[in-house]
Amino acid sequence: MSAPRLGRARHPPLPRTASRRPGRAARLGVLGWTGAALVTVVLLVALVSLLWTPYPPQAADPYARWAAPGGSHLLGTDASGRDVLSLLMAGARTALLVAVLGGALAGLTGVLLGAVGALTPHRVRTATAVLIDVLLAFPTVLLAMLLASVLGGSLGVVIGAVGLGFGVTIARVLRGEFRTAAASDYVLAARAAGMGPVRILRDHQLPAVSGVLIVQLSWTMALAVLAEAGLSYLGYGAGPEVASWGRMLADMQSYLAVYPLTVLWPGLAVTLTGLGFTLLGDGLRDAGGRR
Amino acid sequence: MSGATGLVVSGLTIGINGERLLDGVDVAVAEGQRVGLVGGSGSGKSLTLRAVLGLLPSHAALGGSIRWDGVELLGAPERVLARVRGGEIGIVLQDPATALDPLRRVGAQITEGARRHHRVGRAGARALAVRLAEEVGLPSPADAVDRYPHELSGGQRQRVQIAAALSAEPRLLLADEPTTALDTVVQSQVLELLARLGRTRGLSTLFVTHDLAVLRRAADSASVLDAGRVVEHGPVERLLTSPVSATARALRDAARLTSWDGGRP
Repeated sequence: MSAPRLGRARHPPLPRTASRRPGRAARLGVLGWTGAALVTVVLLVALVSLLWTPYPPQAADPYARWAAPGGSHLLGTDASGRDVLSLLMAGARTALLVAVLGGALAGLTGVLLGAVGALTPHRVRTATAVLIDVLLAFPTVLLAMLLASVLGGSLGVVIGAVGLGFGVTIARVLRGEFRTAAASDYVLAARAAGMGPVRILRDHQLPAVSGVLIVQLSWTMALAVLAEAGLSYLGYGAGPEVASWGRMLADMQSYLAVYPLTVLWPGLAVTLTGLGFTLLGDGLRDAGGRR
Repeated sequence: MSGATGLVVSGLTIGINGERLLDGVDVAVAEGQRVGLVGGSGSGKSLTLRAVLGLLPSHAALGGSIRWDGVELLGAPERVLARVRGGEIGIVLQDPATALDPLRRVGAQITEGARRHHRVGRAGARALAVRLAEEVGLPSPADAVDRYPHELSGGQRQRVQIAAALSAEPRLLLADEPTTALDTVVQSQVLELLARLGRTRGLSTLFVTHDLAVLRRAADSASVLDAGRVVEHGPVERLLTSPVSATARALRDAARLTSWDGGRP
């Protein structure tokens, strides 16, 4: 009998835990919640603008040019007599469209490039890592201007540039995360159980990087909003028929000295939306933490 | 020698980045045997286990032979290795804190091998998970399989790992210091569990450890490794009572210091 007698202590019960893990949302923190609220407001405004705006956003009223705020135009009108509030509301749509589609494309690019850069044979992944670094050195705005000069400026170009440009940043981050996951004992255990690389990717590695990916996506969407405004401002983004905060700024800036309030609204919209996504990303990062 | 069945490793060499880490290691585990592999850190114990399942990085240079039921595993196509991994040879890793995916429920991890090797449906997988959880002595198995690893204690997590290793019903269990990360009481329980599973399932084991006292309960015979070579081989009792090599003597003396029941010849 070499085994000692351990009596009743042999099978201690499962540790007591809270019935369910507190969700991520509960731990967002004040700033994270602020970000979530800002994003929600922009989202609601964009949705409402699909159904209703005080005036048709693009309807120019030559008799109401530069109407003062208040009265029938709550935020006034611009140089061609378009209602600023209506333009702002419709602009939220454009900003979110670019944020969501650009973000999705960036996420896809990031996951693909990151996975290839981390999980393939040595040569391929080293080459991919170099490629990521080279692309990273290329400014996204420059990429967009390059694309626009070939394809002509459009929202599609903005989305493509955001997707590729910021996707590379995400790839850089995810590559490290994928490497860590690939080197982990639980992936070794999964391989030892006979699982193939595709199932390991699906069941273990993608979940392992998903927390970081969500945070990165939130930040990317902030950058996408800024990029859309910036590129549309420069004339590489939204065409004249599309309401865009960046375009509004460009249209109104020449009257800045006379009607300073008009630039305030689109500027504020861009800033608050960008801030919203950034704060949300920060909150998610802090909530995720490292186990 | 029952050469045809079981695991026969002969003349195994492993080099990584030009450094020779394993130099002609011979180990054989026949059906139903409990064999140990002892040695200090860096002696090549864990490497040997990983080589058996073809889990070393691709830039590792391997030589020699690893035969399972007479089939050469070294350099075997992925298809053959995938069948052997989990399905015929299971492995339990050292640290239960890192060997389980923190984001996956315990039940899903237990049945990973079974779903890979046998056609087990979703409902069947859950039932199997509960049954295995019970077999390895997890308390309230039906509750345990729905938990995440961080909601279990270290010993319980190690039981989960053992259950996962057994889920596809392998015939050989590789144990890579499965008790090193546990406190001594839990260590004793896990050793008892492994011994019981070996009996009830007719499982052979290849048990890697640096602790002769642990080995005494986990294996009948053992090879002593030092710097990538087997320096001694024999029944564990003899290694404890009259070790020949300096390495075995050092390990014996160390076991005397730290163990609660070993070392007393």
